[in-house]
Amino acid sequence: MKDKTNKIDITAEILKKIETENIRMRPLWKFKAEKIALESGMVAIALVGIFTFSLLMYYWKINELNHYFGFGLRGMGEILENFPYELFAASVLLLLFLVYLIKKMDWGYKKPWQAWVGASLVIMFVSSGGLLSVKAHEQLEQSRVANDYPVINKYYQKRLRNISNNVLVGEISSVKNDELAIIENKNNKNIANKDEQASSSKAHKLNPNKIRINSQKKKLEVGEEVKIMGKKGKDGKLDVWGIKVIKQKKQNKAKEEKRK
Amino acid sequence: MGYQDLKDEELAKEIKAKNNQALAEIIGRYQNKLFYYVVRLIGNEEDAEDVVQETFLKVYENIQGFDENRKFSSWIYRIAHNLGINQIKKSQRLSAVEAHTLDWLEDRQEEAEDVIAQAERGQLMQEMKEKIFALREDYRDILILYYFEEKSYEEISDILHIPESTAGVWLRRARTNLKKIMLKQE
Repeated sequence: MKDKTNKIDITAEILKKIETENIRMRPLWKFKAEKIALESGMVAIALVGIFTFSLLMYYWKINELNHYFGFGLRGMGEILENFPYELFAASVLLLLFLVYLIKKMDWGYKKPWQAWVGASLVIMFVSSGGLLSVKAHEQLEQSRVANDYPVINKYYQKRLRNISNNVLVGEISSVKNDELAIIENKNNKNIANKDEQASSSKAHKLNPNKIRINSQKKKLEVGEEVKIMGKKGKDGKLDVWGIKVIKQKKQNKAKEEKRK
Repeated sequence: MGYQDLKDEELAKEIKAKNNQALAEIIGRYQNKLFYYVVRLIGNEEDAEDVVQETFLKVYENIQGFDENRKFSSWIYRIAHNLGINQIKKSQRLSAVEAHTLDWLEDRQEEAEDVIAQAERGQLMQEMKEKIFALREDYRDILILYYFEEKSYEEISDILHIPESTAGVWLRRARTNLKKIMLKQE
């Protein structure tokens, strides 16, 4: 409804509409309920995201995937083969969903989505690091709570099956010509089942893995902790592609320090 | 103290308590501002009037969700903006919008002087008005809000739901694009 100055006056029209069309205010509780639902959804997604990401970090840690670095393309191949893609994908999806929910909040538009992604990533990293430092996954694993959740438990259990037969980490027990004997370091402290832990460590002490060095020209000594990558032959021995010394023998270290 | 002395946010509080006089005061304050804004946005007077009506009905329906610590004008402009955009999508008359709106703005320039006079800043503003509809939608929105509605970055951020920094970037880009269009047509 416009007057001569092309101004509108719709006050009466609107008030009439409210009365005649019975337009009602949405009650306050509905707004509050929506807000609470959105906020709790956001917190829940954040918590699940943090847990998933920390599980990914824990899986990486217990399987010592970083050991594959330094073995060139073969090492990278091993990482790619054993990488828990589904955990990674779940973490990314949860992160994106979290950012989507943040953008839905009435303050979410104040910062660009890139800033929210960055902030969420930092929170996920820091919180996941926190969970690892308080050994939350170890406790969860030992409490057997994880057994009730096979989806989670498979990541804890995978380590026990030795995810790759192509890498060995352990201490050299003997060096003979082209053959090494290694007492495998299975990171036993972290094994959930105590019986398995006992049998596992016993077996490796009695039967150290025999390794063919082939053309490797490294000078290796008993007592050194090494990381070895290779391929198991039909006789059960490992043909070595690469050897990396993780920890030098104590006497060697002392000698080096003296030299310095 | 009469309703005309109350701030928008105080009136909103009264509307929450189902005070229709406060609602009438709000409608009186905003109906023309919103009408001119929506006309600029969608380019159709009849549709604009419908959009403004719908805006006030939405305000009434959703007033309980309004946070009185925030600016009421940004909230109501946000509602009008969303409804205006929906209207554009519904009618799909974007191409017709340009000519119609330009005619309308020119015809009504004198009549609507009290509202748009402040936005008339010399030749640049005049040229801007003519070329503004050649810009993409988000740039056009920001130019209308900044130059015609004289909204600050903070208010634009609240209305368009974009970060303040983005509002600044869009405004700069909109100006650059507008300049390009103007140079091209010369």
